[in-house]
Amino acid sequence: MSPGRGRDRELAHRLAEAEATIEALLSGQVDAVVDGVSRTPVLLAKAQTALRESEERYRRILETTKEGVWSTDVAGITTFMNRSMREMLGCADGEHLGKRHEDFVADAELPHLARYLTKAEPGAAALSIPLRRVSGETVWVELLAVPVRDRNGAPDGLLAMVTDVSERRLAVEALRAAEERMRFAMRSTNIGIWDQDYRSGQLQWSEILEAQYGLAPGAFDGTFDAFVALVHPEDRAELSATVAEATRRGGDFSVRHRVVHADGRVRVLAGSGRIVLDDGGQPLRAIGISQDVTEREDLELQYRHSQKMEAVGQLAGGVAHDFNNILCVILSCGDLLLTDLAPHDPARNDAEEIVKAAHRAADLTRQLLMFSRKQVLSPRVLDLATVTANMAGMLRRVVGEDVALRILHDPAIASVRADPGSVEQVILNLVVNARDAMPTGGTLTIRTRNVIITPATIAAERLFDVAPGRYVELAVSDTGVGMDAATQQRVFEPFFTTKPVGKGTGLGLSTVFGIVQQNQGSVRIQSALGHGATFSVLLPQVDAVPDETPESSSVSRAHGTETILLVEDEDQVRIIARMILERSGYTVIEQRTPADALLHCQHAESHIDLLLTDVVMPLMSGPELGRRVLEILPHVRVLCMSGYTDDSTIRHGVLHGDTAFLHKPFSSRSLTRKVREVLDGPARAREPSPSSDAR
Amino acid sequence: MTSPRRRNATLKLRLYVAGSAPNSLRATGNARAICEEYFPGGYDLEIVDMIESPRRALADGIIVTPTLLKLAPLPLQRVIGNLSDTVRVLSVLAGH
Repeated sequence: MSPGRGRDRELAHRLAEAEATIEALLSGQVDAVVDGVSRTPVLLAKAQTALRESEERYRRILETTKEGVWSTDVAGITTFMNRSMREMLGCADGEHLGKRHEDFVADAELPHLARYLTKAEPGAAALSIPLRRVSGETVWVELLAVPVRDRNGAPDGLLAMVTDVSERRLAVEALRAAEERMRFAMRSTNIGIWDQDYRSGQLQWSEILEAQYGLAPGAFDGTFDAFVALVHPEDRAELSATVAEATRRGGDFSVRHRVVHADGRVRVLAGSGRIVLDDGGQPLRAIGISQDVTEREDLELQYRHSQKMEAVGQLAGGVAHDFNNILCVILSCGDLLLTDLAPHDPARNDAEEIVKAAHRAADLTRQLLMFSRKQVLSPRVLDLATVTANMAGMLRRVVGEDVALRILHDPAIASVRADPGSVEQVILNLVVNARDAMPTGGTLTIRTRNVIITPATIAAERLFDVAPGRYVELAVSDTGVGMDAATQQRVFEPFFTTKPVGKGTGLGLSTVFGIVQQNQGSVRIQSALGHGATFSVLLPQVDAVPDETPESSSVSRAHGTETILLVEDEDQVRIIARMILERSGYTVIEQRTPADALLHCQHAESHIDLLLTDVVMPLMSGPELGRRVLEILPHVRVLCMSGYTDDSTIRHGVLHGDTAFLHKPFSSRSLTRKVREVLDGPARAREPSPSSDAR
Repeated sequence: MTSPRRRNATLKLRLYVAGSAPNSLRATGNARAICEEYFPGGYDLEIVDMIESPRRALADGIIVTPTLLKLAPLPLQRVIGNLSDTVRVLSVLAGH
């Protein structure tokens, strides 16, 4: 190729380029040209406008973004803040210019910020820090700073992106507080939680739930089968059916079942669950809670049982009361009949049978009253060891030759406050019961000892009717046939007996129960079939020396000539009492109502030595009548009689030993004896209530 | 149309633009698209802002932007404008 042709090609090429340049210029495809003189690029007008618009667009973006944008120069002085940033800090327009980072950060936070900014580099994590608004309030932000460089690569300050996280922080704190509250509630109420994911099959348990199943933390296997294996075998089928049904239809379910711990202990758990199904009706997730209700269930059982005993007691007490009045008539008439009949009268035998039968009936009603806790008590300070020792001879005869009787005493036994007669009754009934449990002989042990009942003992031994404190325990144990749980549950119910018909009344242990309750004590049973039984009576200790046993006053002469004011609303009882008293030589003034009696006293037409009054009467009680009579006639002695005590009697002081008292039904002998005793007795016993102390 | 792929001979291009002016942005986009479409993996495209680097523009004899320089393979060639005429750009890049 010749040089001339080469130059031609070069020229043609340049011409083509020039044409293309002109064409591009004419078609508006050029943004900038190089100025021929200054040799610098010059933007064409159109391009300049476009650039300005572009800058404007960026500025709008910056001003409308929720993110705060904050730039500072190398000296740390603010060169720019977008609107969000200014609002975050509460800066008025222009107020931010020239300020430093430090102007918006509390002193305590400065070191954190300084450390963060010196290490600022692209890709670094954000800093969570409280900023101080112009008004002084705090705003929590997350600040992400990156260094900015100029065209030549030299440091040109920092650009920070700032996010207001105050609300998020509040929400997180509220969530944390709510979680904490929930955890506290769960822990303090001992609620266990479970959570099942049906996709993974994973079942998660909280530590409390594991404890409810007797497992160590983290010991649960995490499968439904592992859970079922911990449930009491008898409850598995029902539980599985309930869960299966809930899984099929979704929604909520409740269960109550027993679990067996590794050590064999059985607990009762109650729980609720919720199963969430997916759109296709398949179970997705289930959550639930569980609570150990063993103690609650025991208490409920205990409560139901005591309610039943209370109801039966009221029924028995009511019947016994009415019966007493009838028996009173039978007994008294029988007595009178016997007094009237000649020693060899053929009718005498019949009359004696009537009186004997009536006595047996009276004994039964007395026991019923004991059970229903409506027995009149005269509590005294006692030493149970002495009471037992004094009964030893009699008890040996009761148990017979086949049974060995052991009596063990705590030498330092504390005192209790109880009615001696009823305590003897308790011991006797328990001993008879123990003897009957050993038809082929065995050993019967009576043991007294001091015990301290703590809240822990109450929980462990299920003594729900006992308050913590110091007690004296009287335990009667036998080596007999023992009782199953069902029998133990019913053994104190009146007329419940395991003995053959005609062998027992079913009242012995009911009486024990009633007496112990009335003496503020408690009785419990420990027994298993074939392993004998122990009945333990707990009576609260008292810090007092036992009272002297009062000598029974032997009343030699049951007759008298004094005048007796007799007040009784029950006609038959009043007539009988009058007949008995008149035969014994007394003058009897009969009144049906307390009002009539008071009227008689006010007119004082005759001298009165003794007021014999029923306790429970309409309008005014016997003790109240006694008090009113004493206001008129201070020398009169008062004797109250009743077959029944209730709250009103207790309120009127009969139970406190302040009033002489006669138990109905009375025989002619017990009535005349008691009347004589009161007329001859010490003055103290005449006071019907503490209010008449003023003399 | 046969594809002018040259996997072995690397295509070396330099595009001069003026900041983010409209034709410059369009030229950048077009250059990238053409390279990716017809020379995938076989090209080297450098974008130079003439406003920021006026000296380089002078050295390359640039008088307007956008200008695309084909540095290799030789001969050195230029395309002026926003590169929206793909056929014309390709005819230059393919060395015709």
